[in-house]
Amino acid sequence: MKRLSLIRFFYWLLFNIFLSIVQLIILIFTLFMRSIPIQIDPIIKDGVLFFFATALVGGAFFDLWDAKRFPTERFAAVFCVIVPVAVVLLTLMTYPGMLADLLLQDLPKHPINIHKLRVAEITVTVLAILYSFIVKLVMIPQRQNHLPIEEG
Amino acid sequence: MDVYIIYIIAAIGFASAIYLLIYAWRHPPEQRINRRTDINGKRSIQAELKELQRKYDVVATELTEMKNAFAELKNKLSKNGLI
Repeated sequence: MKRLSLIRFFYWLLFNIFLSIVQLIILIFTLFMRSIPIQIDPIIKDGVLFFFATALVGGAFFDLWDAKRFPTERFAAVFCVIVPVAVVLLTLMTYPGMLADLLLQDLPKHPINIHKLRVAEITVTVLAILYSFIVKLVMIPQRQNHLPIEEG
Repeated sequence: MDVYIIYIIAAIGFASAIYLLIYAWRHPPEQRINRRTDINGKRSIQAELKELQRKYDVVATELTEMKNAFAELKNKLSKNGLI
C-alpha cells in the first residue's frame, strides 16, 4: 500500500514554483546575461520569495478549505490558521519596508537591515513549503488533490 | 531587540506546523482508512475461506469413512444372505 505519493507533491510544488517564481528566474537570467555574479542578497532584496510563499500558503489553505478537510479539533484548526497568518504577518512586516526603501527619499539614510530580511524571507519560504507539504500530502485525500491520480 | 519579534513569529509558525504535521499523521483521511479496512476485510475473508476449506476436508474424510463402512456392512449382510 502506498501511503504518500511524493511524486505528485513535487509535481504540484514544481508547478507552483514555476508560476510564482518566474520573476526570480528572470532576475537570475538578467544577472547572468550581464555577467553579474549571482548572490543571495539581491534575490533576498528583490522580495520574490515573499510572493512565492504567500501564493503557496494561500493555495494550500484554499485547497484545504475546498476539499472540506479542515480539522474539526480545536487546536488543530487554530494551528491551521496560525501558519498562514505567520507567513502573511512576516511578509507584511518586511515587504512594505523594502518597498518604502525605493519610494521614499529619506529612508536611504537608515537602510533596511539585511539580517532581519534574510531571517524573515528564509523563514517564510521554509514555512510555506512545510505547510503546503502537510496540507497537500498528508491532510487532503489523494482523490481530492485536483491532480492526476496514480494507479496502484 | 526588534529582530526577536521575527524570531518569535517564526517559532510560533514552526511549532504550529510541527503540531499540524503530527495531527495530520495521526488522523489520516477517510480514503486511506477505507483502503485499510478493505485490506483487512480481504484478509479476514481469506482466513475464513481457509477455515472453511479445512472443515470441508474433515467432513469429506468422515463421509468417505462412513461410505466405506456402509460398503463393508453391505458386503457382510450379502454374505450372510440377509440382503
